Amino acid sequence: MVLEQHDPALEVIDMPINMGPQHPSTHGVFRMVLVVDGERIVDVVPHIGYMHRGGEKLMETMDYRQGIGYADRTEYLAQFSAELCYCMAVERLMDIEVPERAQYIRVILTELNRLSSHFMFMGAFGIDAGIFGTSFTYAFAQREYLQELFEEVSGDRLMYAYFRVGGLAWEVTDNFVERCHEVLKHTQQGIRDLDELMTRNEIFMARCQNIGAFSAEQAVAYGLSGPMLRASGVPWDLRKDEPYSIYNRLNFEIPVGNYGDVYDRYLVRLAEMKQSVSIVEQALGQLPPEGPIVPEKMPRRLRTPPGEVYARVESPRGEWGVYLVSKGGDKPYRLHMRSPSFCNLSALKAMTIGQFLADAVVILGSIDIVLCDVDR
Amino acid sequence: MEQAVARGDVTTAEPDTGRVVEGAPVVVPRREQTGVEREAERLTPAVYEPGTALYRQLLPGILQVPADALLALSRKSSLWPMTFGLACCAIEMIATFMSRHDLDRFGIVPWPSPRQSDVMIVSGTVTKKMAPAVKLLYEQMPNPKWVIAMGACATNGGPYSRYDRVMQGVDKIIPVDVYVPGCPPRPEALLDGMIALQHKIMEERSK
Amino acid sequence: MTTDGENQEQAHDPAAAPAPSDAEAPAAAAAEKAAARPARAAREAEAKEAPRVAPPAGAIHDLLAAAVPGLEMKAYVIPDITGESVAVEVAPERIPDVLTAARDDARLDLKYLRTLTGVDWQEEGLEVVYHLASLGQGHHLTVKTRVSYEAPNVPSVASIYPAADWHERETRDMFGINFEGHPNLVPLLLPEDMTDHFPLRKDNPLQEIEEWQGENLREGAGEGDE
Repeated sequence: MVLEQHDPALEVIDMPINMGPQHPSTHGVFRMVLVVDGERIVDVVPHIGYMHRGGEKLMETMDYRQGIGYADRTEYLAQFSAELCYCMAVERLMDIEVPERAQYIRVILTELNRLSSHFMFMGAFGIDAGIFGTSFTYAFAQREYLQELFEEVSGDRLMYAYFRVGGLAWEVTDNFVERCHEVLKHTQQGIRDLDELMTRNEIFMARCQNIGAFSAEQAVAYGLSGPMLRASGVPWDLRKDEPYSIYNRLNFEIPVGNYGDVYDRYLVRLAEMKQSVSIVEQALGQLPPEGPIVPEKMPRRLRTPPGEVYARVESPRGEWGVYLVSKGGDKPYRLHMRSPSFCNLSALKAMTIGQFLADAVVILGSIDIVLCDVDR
Repeated sequence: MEQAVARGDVTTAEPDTGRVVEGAPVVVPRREQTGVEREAERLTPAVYEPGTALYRQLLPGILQVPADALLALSRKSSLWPMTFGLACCAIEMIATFMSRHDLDRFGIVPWPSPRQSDVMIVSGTVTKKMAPAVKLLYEQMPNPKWVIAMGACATNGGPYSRYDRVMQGVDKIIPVDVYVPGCPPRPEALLDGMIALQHKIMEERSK
Repeated sequence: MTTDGENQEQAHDPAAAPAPSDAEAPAAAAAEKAAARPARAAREAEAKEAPRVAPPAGAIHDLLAAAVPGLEMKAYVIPDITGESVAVEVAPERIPDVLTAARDDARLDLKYLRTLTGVDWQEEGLEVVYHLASLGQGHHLTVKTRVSYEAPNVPSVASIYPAADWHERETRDMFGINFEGHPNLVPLLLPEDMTDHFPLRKDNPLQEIEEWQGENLREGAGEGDE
């Protein structure tokens, strides 16, 4: 072809293209500089830090009740997972036992939060793949039902701050179980809607299959977690492998993918949503109808003994961890949040090099990042 | 308005004297300038003097009042916000655009490009790393333009104001018209803010 | 995590009681710990660091000692949500050897680097903490190393664990620890012109709430916070 024989005097360079920090598809303030050769990506330089607000430094000056609000605002789509992890870390250091009813309610709310976070993923990922608006509208309609329920229970639509060290802040509403069942009906319909819209859609499949494939060894070496790790074939889920709270009493499966590509990650999250619905229904059945929500001998000032602990939960994005170092007193000495979005995003370069330019957006969307978590 | 400007702040300040000059190009007094700052330097925003729009010079005096009202009515009825979702407030902003608290019925259509949008909803914390990009996007918007600072972080730094890499409020770099408090504000509160902006546009129609 | 909820008013250390079970049996550890806890000593009101208890023989630190010959380490027990876990403190120069052995040894199989972070112990220096886990074997290990303020150099492990790449850049931003041998140690989270003072060090306190940023810079003294 004529284009193959370049005029030797013609200089051919790889073109750098800047995406972000403000861009409709970058899920927040994330900037990547893609160096492309024609349509093929040769290099990716991600720039993060546009949302670095010093959450870890600020939490060193907050006591163990104020810090819950910062944990919320760091992981702003899976707030109950973040609160649960933070409370678990402090409870482990203080050796507090959370009463059973509180644990069940915590798990129910965390799994409902997983549903709302995965709905957000479905919506945003549909947009990345080209469905301009439909998936987002369906997803947010479902999120509104869940947010209504959360608002009834905790008082806030987005930043709940409902879990406390030792249990919950206050009792749930009287019709909590009925409301949950109502919401689950809507949710199941929503999952079916999104499933029919996207999963067997030819264009969607062509855009997502064999894109950004990552093998199991690479995934483990890069420290991926959550649906990204499971889509690559590694059956690791903290709820099953290092069970915390009451997950060992519930019956659920872990969806694992085969190829580690973008389509597998989507399918894993879709299957996880169905599993979450089942978990919530089981937990609602096992929920003790009455009982305390904080332990009887709850200390009035939350002071941890000196020590350190690394607590972790399976958040919708992966392993959200809190490494808490305490020197005594009522504030942490050092609090590090292990962010799954940070670790998953560090593998972006390896996943994107060699792909086409149009697939960069889809790959980034499949990682499902929360920018405040990446930058903390 | 002249005021002493601290080093490292992103403002429209002359590098030598530190005076703040309205409408001057952005010069960020830093050791080295990255591409964004160089680009911002080249953009000289048109100084928009109130009362000198072309239609005022053409129309006779008696027609200016209804012309003002008509223009303000059309501007406020189709405000196109540039979706500038930075952090958690972005989720509530998106929820406001979606079907339950529909903003489309007010003529408000989210538009990703700054060149074709009217109002910039700054939703989320503005950090000092992000500040040149915010300023650049503001300068890229054509006049008339407005800014809504949504949430506590955009108003005055919010829960993160004590950290020194967080800009304590977006009004340090761009002029803000409406502040919507909350962390995050409810969609109804953002709706209230947009309607307040519409009232403001109508009231200030003679400018 | 169900542990004994008694005696919460006293400042007891979870590691103060001897843990007869090893790190991989959480249920047995909790039950035996409750049974074997001795009578309370005098309350340590101002304890700064938890006293260190050596882990039982045969736990993961012995596997590490077998995998890396000639390694000097201090091993102790730390609490973990699955019961107890082992932390190992080594010298900074041995870090690449230790982590390579941890990754390649068949019984250790610690191929998963969970997180890498730093802690600022003011008089005692800066500490780098590595949390490793094994997805196949189901155990985990915490490796620590301590450097001084004057020479905060730690060899980089980015070539051993690709996950460490960004974590090391972030730790360098926050604490100023220099990771030697890192392929690309440029600022990750901080703006390019504000990288000379390290936010998470204890000598960089936050502003007071009443003080606006930049207020004390009118004279042009210093940069960043006070």
